[in-house]
Amino acid sequence: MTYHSQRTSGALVSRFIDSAARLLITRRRFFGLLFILMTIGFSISALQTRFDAGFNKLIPLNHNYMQAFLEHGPKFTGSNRIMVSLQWQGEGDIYNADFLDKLKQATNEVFFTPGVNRATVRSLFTPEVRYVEVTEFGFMGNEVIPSRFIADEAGMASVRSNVNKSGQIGNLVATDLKSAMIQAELLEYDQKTGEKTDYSAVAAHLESIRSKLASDNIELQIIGFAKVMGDVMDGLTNVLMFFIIAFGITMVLLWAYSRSVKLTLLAITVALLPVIWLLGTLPLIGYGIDPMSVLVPFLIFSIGVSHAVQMTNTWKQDVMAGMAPVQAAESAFRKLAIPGTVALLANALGFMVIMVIDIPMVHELGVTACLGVAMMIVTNKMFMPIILSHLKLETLALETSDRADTKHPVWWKISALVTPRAALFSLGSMFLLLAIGTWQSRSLLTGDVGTGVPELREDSRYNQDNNQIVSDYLIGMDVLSVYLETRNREEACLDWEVMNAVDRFDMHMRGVDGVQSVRTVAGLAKLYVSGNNEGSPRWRTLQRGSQALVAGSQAAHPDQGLNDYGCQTINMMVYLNDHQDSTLKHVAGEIQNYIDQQTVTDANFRLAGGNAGVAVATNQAVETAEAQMLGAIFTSITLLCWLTFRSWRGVLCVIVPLVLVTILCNALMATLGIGLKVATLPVIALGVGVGVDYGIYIYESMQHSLKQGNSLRDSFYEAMYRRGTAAVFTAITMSIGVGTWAFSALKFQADMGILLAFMFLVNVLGAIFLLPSLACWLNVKPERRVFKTLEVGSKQKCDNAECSEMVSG
Amino acid sequence: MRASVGICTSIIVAAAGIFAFSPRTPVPMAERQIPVENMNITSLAQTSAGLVAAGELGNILISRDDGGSWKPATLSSQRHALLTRLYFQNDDIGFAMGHEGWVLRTTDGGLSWDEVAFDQERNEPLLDIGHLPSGHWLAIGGYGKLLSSVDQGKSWTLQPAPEGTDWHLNTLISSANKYVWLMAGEVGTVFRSLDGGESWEKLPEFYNGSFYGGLHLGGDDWLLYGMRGNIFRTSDNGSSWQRLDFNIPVSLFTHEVLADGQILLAGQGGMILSSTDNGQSFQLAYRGGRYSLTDLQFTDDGKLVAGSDQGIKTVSAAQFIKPATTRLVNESKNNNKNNS
Repeated sequence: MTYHSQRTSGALVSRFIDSAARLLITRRRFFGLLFILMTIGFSISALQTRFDAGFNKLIPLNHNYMQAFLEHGPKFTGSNRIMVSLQWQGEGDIYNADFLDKLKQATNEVFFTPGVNRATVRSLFTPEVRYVEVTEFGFMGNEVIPSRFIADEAGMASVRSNVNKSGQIGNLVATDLKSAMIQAELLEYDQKTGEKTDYSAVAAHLESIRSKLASDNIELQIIGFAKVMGDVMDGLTNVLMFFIIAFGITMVLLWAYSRSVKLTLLAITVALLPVIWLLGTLPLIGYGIDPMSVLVPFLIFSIGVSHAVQMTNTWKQDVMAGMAPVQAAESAFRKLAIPGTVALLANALGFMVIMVIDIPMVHELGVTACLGVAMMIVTNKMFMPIILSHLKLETLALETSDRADTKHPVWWKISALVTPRAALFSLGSMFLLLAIGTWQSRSLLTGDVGTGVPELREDSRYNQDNNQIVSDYLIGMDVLSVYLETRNREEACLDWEVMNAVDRFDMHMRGVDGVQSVRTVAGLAKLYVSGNNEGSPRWRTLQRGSQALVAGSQAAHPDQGLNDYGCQTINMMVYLNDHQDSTLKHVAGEIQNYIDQQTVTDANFRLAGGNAGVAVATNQAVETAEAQMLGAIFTSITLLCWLTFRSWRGVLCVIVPLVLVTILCNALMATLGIGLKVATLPVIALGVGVGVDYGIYIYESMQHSLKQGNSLRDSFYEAMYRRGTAAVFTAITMSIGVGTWAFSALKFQADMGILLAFMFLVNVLGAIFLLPSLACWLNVKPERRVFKTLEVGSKQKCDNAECSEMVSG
Repeated sequence: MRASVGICTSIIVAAAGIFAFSPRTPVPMAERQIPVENMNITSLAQTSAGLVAAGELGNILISRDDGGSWKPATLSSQRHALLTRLYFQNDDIGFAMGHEGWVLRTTDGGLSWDEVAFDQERNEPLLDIGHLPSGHWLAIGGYGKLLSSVDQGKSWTLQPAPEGTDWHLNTLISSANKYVWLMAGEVGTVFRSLDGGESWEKLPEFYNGSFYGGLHLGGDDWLLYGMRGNIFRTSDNGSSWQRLDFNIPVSLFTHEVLADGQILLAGQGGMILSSTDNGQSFQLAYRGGRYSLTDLQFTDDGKLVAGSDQGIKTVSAAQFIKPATTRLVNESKNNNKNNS
């Protein structure tokens, strides 16, 4: 593709390529054996590759908020809680023997879940859950369900009354009294073995509770971080199935395209090699496959197939022209070394640009993908010619006529787009799309759209459970933590200034739009103080003086998760209505405004933790990266185009459709309700990086023909005839490769798959339908200096075989 | 010439691209408001300035539209202590009192407040206030706290509690003629004054829990209410008391008397009890939810606005307006307004 850029250093480069081709073919046994040994080695190593849910890698670690989160987040309990809710489907409420028996069983089951901190299991059946009432004689309290509980009418009545007094309605018992739940905290590490808690095992055990206890009358809902992890890991495992499907479809398409079983098998095998090499390399450099970088094997495979196709085609044409397979292989290597490598470098550019997103998982994606592209240069450009040199074509494939005298009807019709009238029509349609796309793209939202955990689909079992629990109980799921760091105090929660600051923060946040509720040590302490004063609201306050503050000091027990020992750090939890970006931005902005005005002696506020805090930081990182990334990718692609064509017209013909498709991609996201987030932002860069190839290939071929003095229409027809089919084939194979993801159980994989498939497909349409019209109206004309420019490539005089089928990657 | 079309096209696409990817501002959300529906409101009053509410962290709020919207009052000094009681002498002059001996005074119906007392050293809250026939003012509170003022409440001095009690004193009520007074509080403590609040005698114990409020029913009839549904009635100015037969164990914190003489008591569980027989018996009239009602206030348009530890609640009042009875309780109504 960079045929003309060779002019400058052309001679030197072509001499180098010639000798490399010679060396490769003469020493083909050695290289062949080497590559086979490498493949065997990587295959063995690839068995070590592990899936890695990698949630921490999704955090923008350098963001101020995340530094505070990483410092303080682990101090507070509650982040790793599992909840198992039993929902009574029968008549009446939960106070019946059948339900309570099941609840008891479920409590026991949760108790024996691997990794559960047994001291933290809570349900109506655990002794820690008590009711307290204030009487004339002081406090009276007991277990909600006494150990001698008998499930008769009197027993039920007393349990019902105890639950009412326990304050557990909304927490352990649903507000409509139709459900009750068990809550438990998970340990990060197994206390006996010291091993990390196996979330898959936890999730599997929880699922077994569901299957064991669910009945016509009882449904179970299970949520918690561990369950999300388990479901994500399951989803990740399914990816293998998608790969097999993509593999199968690609194989059929390849056969339809090449009509040769040998070439099909060859292309697909060679395309698999970089995938195997890459998977073998990952364990060696300490990487795993995470939910995002699992995209890379798909991409590498798709790109590999398209490059394999161009290599086999070039070789086939030479063979049909009468060359021996060995010579043809050497010739194919020589012809494709530069265009193929540069095309791959353009892809790598797309992968590299996404690394401006300051999130470790995206960095890994970029590194992994670049590595894969580098390997593809070796496997496709070196290993493949070696195999080809040993290959003999079957007759069926040879029968395919190379070029008919009559013009290809479809491509000839399309080439009419270079005539001014048709071009105007095409430009007009483009403006229509542009207007709609631009307008629609303005409603693109940042961050996760919708309810439930963003990793999984909205209609997934988990998110249905999540929604059910959110609607049945008074439990918030979107929490933004603000930390108050205190210094030089023995017991900051007995210091009125600190507690008052927390108290005022609590009340201030309650008035902020988008905030559902606020939980702070001050708010809880006030409840305890009021409780100690017969539950009177007129005592629900924090008085000055540590003596008075002691009355509410139970609230400052670190088990509440609102502060650490000595209240060195106070965790103020702001529960939000949802995790939409507008809510996150608004609340975070309000918090920032508020804490900017606060001065507390030897203490300072820091944002932000909790899942909403992570989301705020992530959204900010994504938004910052969006402009940088688009700027970088379009600048570098423009530069690459200019280096290739040395013509501003050429640059515009390629870049303008690309911009349109990128806008349309944003519009599509807005329409489908896909947010701009860590998973989808890289897609735009990848789509641009890969999508530009079509335009470059077609324009390059057209430019070549123009230089020979052919008319614009003839030149465009030439380009389409030689490369159009290959470009469409490539677009389809690549779209299918990533498009299978649309069926993934993981929402962000599905989003990525849909968007990438869109970018790959629509970019080829842009190159076919828009590029010629732009060329027409940019006044791209045949050159008079026929053949003058071709002197450099004396050896590479462009014949049909050479220019044809430089398929993109 | 022809190229200019292409160039213009390119420029338009570039501009569209820049516009499409320029920062997107999300739909702005509502400005921060005082969380009147999610804060501890302890007291309400209707004044020349409108509806006044006070409570959590020293917040005093005013509504000109009967609770539709609220804005903060101006305080000469914000101590962030819980305000426990609003009391208005008339439409303009009133007091707000709270924890740590905090007293604020207003002369414009509650729009602006001046701090007249605050005790940083002693934490005891003030819980009720009374205007004695002598013109002096009396404020009572936790741990037997007693303050008095001889200058219209502009300055306050600490006084010894009756009989040196250190129980919480929760409520101070008087007869219509302001001659007989009752002061009630923790562990059944009740003091009575028969001389306009000049001297106090402790009544014999008839209940061992807390009283949170009470009212004069006219004549020698009084009512005291407190924790766990305990309501006591006397017909002899407090010499003997009868516990009413009411068995829902919710603590009662406030009361209100309707124009037709119907008496409402309210408290935990958002419950409102109603009596149409001058406090002889009470029936459950309204069950709110998991909150405690702290004060009731009828607005001019007949709405019942309630203060609670979870903010201001509007209660449909229709069910409380019973057909007018023949009883005359106007005097008692005025009396209650001043002492609730």
